[in-house]
Amino acid sequence: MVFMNIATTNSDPEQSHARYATCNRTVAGILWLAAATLTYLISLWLLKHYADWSPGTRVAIAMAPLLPGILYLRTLLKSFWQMDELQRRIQIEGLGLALVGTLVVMTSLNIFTAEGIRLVNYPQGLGIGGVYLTMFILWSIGVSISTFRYR
Amino acid sequence: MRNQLRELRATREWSQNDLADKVRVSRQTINALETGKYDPSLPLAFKIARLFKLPIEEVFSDK
Repeated sequence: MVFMNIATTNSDPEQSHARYATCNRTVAGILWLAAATLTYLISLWLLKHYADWSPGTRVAIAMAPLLPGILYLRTLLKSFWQMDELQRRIQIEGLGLALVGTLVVMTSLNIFTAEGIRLVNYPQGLGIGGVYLTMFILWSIGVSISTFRYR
Repeated sequence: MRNQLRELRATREWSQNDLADKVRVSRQTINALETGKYDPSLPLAFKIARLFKLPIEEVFSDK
């Protein structure tokens, strides 16, 4: 979602600073996303293997991925606010496709499952991981289409 | 909406990157404006017109 554009011949210090800040936000975003994913996986593993821990501890462990997740979201929003109007429009179109597309995919899967046609071989449906993956794929497609349109 | 961006930029011998840096948008935005694929917001249109020291209707028109 964050555009990294460091290579430039421009010598304007303000522009260089803006590009440096964009690069920093990209790195911070990647790190927070990695931290959130890692914390999520660790918390899942702990909750599975230490079922006898107190409910308070288990809640704290389950909520641990929220902190890096919120920090990732903050970095993402900062990047969004720094974009110019066309880049913002491209992102909004991508997010629109991701939201509506995910809704259509999930609703279709539920209808098929209710009719006894199982398209996905998971007893609980796609799950939250599947929703995130679907959204990410559709967002990528949406952003690519919009970028191509305005090229 | 039509605009004179390409011509105005050419008379000043600015590249798309130069113009993008001056109005603080991406080069992709300038390209989309010049090819008519994207209409700018009013603040951006004013910013561009002010940069070229021209009335906004001499840079952008609805014809």
